[in-house]
Amino acid sequence: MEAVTFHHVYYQYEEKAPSVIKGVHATLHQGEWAAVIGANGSGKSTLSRLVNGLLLPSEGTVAVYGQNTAASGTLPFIRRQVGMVFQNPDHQFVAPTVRDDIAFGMENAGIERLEMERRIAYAASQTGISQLLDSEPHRLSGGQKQRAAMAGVLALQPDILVLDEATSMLDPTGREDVMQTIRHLHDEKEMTILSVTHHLHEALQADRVWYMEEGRLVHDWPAEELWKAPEKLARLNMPLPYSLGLIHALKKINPSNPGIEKIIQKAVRK
Amino acid sequence: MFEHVIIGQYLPGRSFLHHMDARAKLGTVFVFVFTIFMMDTWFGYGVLWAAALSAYFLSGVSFRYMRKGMVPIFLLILFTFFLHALFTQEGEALVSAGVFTLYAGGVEQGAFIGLRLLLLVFVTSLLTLTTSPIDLTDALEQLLTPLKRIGIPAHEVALMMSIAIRFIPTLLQETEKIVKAQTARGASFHQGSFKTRAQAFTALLVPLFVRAFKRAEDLALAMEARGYNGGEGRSKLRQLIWGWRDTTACLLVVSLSALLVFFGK
Repeated sequence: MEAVTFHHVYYQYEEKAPSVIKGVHATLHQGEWAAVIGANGSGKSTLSRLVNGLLLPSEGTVAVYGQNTAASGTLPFIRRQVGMVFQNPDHQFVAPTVRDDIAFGMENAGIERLEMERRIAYAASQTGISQLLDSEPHRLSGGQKQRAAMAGVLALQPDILVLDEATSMLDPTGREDVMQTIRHLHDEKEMTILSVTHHLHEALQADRVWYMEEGRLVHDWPAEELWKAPEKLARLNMPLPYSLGLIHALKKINPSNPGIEKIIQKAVRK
Repeated sequence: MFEHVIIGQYLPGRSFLHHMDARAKLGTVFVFVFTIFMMDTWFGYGVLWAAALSAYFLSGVSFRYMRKGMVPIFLLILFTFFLHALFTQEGEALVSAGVFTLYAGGVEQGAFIGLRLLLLVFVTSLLTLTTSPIDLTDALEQLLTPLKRIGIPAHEVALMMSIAIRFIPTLLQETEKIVKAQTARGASFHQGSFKTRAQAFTALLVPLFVRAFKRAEDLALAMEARGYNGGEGRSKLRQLIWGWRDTTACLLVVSLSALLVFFGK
């Protein structure tokens, strides 16, 4: 089932300004995880904001479960289906405690109190912050803050999760905490995920990797393929993660070495 | 410096005042403050101080904490006292030094205003010390709801207050970061002439405002992404519950205020 479809999408921030998204045509299926990579200014964040209708395409259509984001009256449905986590966790909290912040989206949706409490407990357990519900957001670590922000989104029970560089401001521990939560949501809860990232080793954990360049979606690779052929990324002058760089170097030395194939198999399985 | 200021701080607890509904506390404090401004006799102030101290004993807040919190405002009270004492020329002249003459009426007026200020800070501190900010904004929203009819945006006012409270610590942290960054680049916030320090503060305020605006923009986007669309149709996680304590406190404060306003002058 098609969860998100981009149909020849163009986007420009101002009428006479150049397009920052140029003819993107892609589909994200239900339960799939696509990671969007690319240099700064390549249009990754803009693409992610088009998914839940924060931005509407200048040309073409973006559809969530077949509903056009630009059609009148579809936004409430789309906002319920698509949860969005932003780059800076400090800029997302509305309420003075984690519990109240998680409730914010549900209050907007008019959900009744007992249901809210049930969902808060559930979202907190899924993100591992149950013991932090009464804490003030500014007292949490970076990773905890981002997981609290994710809990606020998960409480709305979206089918699709969009992460706009959600790990970019975190330290390695915080990043790993958040990645673990994302993996859990994808593997166990079968959520559809679109994550924008600069970290290749995070992107390689997804099912597919979308590479953007100057507003165009120029490559759509299965992540497994990149483990087998890291030269595809190396050709784009992207700094490879250590493991992938090692495979790439070994393959360059001896392309027919059967040991490399085993390493790749292990890496893919991991 | 600011760690000793207790106005606006909340101390979690299980006292009588902590258990009261925030609407009742907000309402009674409003009536109490109104009465303070209506009073112009020592007797009236004596009764109001007795009532405020009774409320204090029901708050569970330690005397040391309260005293510590009152110390910073003593400067302001002293300033107010001297302003009135030196510039009110009523009653008998007590002391004369140069162009200044201290009159008995001025001293009395200064003491009166100083005491009024102290009582105001004392009562409002009791309110914030025993009521969490979120309960306070919820109560304000509910109390302002009837005013929606005349165009007062109750929900928006409460949400703005709630967000402002939420961002105070974040902005303080940010200020600290900018101060450190500017100090590392040679700015001096505590030394040098007034002009040098004023220039240093410009270097602090400009990035602080730029970041605050950026933050506000991002927050608006995050709120929109979570379906915020104004106050209509929203539900509430927190429920305010009115109990016997609230009815009793309201009746007592309103009766006391009425008696004082009509007979205590």
